[in-house]
Amino acid sequence: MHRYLLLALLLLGGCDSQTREYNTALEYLANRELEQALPVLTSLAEAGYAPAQFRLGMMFAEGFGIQQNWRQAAQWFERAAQQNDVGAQWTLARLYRVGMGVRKSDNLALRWYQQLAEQGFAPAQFQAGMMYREGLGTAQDMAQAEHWLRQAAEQDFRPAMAEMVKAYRDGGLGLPVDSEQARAWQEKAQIRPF
Amino acid sequence: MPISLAFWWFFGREYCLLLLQWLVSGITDLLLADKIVGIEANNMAWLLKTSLSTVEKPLETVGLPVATNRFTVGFGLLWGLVLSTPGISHWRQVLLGTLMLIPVATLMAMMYIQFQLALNINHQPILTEVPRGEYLLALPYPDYLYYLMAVGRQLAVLVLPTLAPLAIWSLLNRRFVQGVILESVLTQTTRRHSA
Repeated sequence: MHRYLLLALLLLGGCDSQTREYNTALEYLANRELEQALPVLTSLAEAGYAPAQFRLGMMFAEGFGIQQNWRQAAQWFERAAQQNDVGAQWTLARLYRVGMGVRKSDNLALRWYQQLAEQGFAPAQFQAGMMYREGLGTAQDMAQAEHWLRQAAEQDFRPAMAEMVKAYRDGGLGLPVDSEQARAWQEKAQIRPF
Repeated sequence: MPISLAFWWFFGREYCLLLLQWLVSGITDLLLADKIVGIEANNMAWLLKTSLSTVEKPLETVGLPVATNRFTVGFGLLWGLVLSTPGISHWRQVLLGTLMLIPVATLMAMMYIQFQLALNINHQPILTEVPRGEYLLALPYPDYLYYLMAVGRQLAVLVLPTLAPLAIWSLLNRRFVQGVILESVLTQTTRRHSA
């Protein structure tokens, strides 16, 4: 019993030393103490800690405390995104869409959006839906577009709800014109539960 | 009771909150360190400093305000109940009851904090709560967990603030509850039936 308790305490206390350091760096950032935040974030990022890689990438992207460098930013996002960091995957997808710091690739943008969308992240579901609808980075696929836009709309993502209203009103996304469904989505988008 | 609640409002809650903040910060450090950086007291409310950013401003982190009166009102109710009970050692019971209520109040705060995080991450209005405008850069909790956290919020905000002090007072004064309250209810019911 004592052995398990000790193990649990060790796990709780020992496994998140990187998280603690990262949180300290965030406190520095919040207080605009960039000279102190940067070395901590850099050492964590180099050690492979994904949230620090994302944050460092953002600092390079926005030139916050360091020289703006989109290429460096994209490299850090890429490393964090490979470790499933939501912020990095989202930002990397946007960089691929516009071609900042990386070669423009709608196909890679869609890949990252879709990876996030599959994990339930509504803004990415919306983006994936729109890319399928427009045929960006993939062949136009209305069934996929409707699937992702509906998923986002069901999570209360307003722009997706607006797309559902338009689709049912005008018969877009391969859906039949259905004024009742259009009205239902319109009402859902406007009315809050309380 | 009104005097006890006035004492809690003007003097007690500040100190109760200080203690709770210390305890809750310790627990969030252990259990939610990947999302919560710290808790800042801000005039009888807390600001949860998170490590989460928004889709619109990915460089900045988000702070979530938390109203705290409900976590500490139980102390005022408990002191009122204890001090109005005749024939007991009041100070001993105030001390004992307060010690028993502290973990419950900490649990209430933790359940509410966890719910606030889930509400803003999942970004779906639930009960009477509406999330902030922006989407946070975090994956949503599964629906069943989100609803479970909403139940926790209801317990923390509606049920425990009043029920916990009453239960603790009843536990500390079992003889009084049995001898005076239950006895009189039974007597009244028997009288009503025999009449």
